[in-house]
Amino acid sequence: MPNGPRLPDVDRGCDIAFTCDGEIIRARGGETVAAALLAAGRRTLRNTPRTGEPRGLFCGMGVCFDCVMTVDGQPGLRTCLTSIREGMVVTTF
Amino acid sequence: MTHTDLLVVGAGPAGLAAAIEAARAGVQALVVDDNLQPGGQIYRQVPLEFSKNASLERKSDFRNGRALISDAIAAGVQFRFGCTAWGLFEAGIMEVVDSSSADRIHAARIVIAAGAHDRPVPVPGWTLPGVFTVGGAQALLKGQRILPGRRMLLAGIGPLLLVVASQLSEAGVDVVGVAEPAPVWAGLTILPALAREWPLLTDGLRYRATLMRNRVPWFSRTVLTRIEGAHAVTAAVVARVDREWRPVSGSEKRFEVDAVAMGYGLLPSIELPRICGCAMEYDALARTWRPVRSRQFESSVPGTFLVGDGAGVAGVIVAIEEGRVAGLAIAEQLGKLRSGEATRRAVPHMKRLATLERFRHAVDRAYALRPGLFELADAETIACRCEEVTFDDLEQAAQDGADTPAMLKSFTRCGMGPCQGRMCAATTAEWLATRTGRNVSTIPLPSAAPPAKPVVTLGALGSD
Repeated sequence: MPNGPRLPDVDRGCDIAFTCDGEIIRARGGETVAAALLAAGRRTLRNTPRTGEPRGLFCGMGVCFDCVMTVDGQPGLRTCLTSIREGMVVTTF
Repeated sequence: MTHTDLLVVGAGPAGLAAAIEAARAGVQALVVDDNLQPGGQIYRQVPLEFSKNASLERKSDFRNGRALISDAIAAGVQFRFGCTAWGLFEAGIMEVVDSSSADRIHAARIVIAAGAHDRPVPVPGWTLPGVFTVGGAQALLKGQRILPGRRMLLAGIGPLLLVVASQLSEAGVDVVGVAEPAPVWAGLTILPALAREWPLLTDGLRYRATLMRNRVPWFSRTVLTRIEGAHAVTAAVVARVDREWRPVSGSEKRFEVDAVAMGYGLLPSIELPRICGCAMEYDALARTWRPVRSRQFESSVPGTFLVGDGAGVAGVIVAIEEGRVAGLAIAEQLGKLRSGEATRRAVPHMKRLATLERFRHAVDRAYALRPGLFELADAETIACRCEEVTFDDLEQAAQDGADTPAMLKSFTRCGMGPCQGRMCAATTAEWLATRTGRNVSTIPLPSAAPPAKPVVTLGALGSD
């Protein structure tokens, strides 16, 4: 079992810090928001509007829309398809 | 408005192959994909910001994918990434949108190679964070080199399950087991159809060997019945099944895991083709709808070609061969090849496709889904993830008179969410078929209307 969820067989991009609901998340360039949050131990990406149930990454390829969060003010973005940027502000939709 | 000879929707192997053949013959080809890079699923690349090292280079999917991408670039194919094709209101004019703007692409010919997505199979707890499709687990592993979990149970059937189980265990995930409802000998029935496609056999054996080396138990005749957890996955329960895949009571086994990956085959992504007016037919063995196509993979809409898993799940080699045949046909239709040239050059591809068709048929037969799989949900289980519609909601609607997916949709909102039925249409059809005693092929598809995917950037539509 490698150390942590990031596999060591690739050299990732530079260190990037972004915030998720105000909490600073440290990740690497090229990673998607959903993957970076998962690697940081955060699996719940949203709570459903009607019953408030937690949802996270499911299909990983942009078809299920369970991973949507508000990114830099834009709601409904699929975090599995969104690359992180330094200073990006991600909030639960 | 952008003008091009050929628009290809989808930069996976099928789309790339079509664009390459057309471009090499002198056709101006533009490929759009809503992903950030080409490759689709099987040839998913790591981000440009990652530098590849030797062990990654050795992985054949990365190598083969990069070779095809290089061929496309060398042939002069143009690309637009992060670009979603969402509708067609006039013949030959595809509406697309990316993060900043909308565009209309006027193309003399269109290839839609939209690929496939995992067939969702509802079981109690399947919406918990930590539950992935096998495609999703693989996308994370391949595309981000990040593990979906530390300790995982895999459940499903078919070739992709074997591949992903092997890849996850090799990457260091503690795979506590793989639960597959088919009998242990199901895969052997495919052997006679392998013919001379030896790589298919050796690949399969290699994946099995990896699982044995990593001591991953393979539970045949076993199905995932329940996923447990308060806020995220904490455990998964499996049970032995009978020949119809119905759980045998008292045979349950519980595993403490932090993630689950489920994969019961793939569904062709036919949403955009349907919006474009392409006729569909039901494939009873694969249990999916797929488009009607000519021998050159032209759809029922003249000038629109459909290739790859998006037209019927058959794997990467078929996708590439179909793409090549379509690309050649398009080049001839546009006058870049002499009359009959496309057919002549397609001969080796057609021969290979005939062999692979036998293989695909054998795979579909070996891994055909049985009815018990569609009875694992309970009343509280979510049927429509987007709109939070439970199976009990569907039952209530049916008792109120809803007997088609369209009526279920209007009574419960099932299928109205942003995934537009990709996660629930097949489930709903199977449920309705079981409840009303009809064959699932007689359940009408929900109506297809644009957008093929939600258009989020409303501001972009205001311009132009």
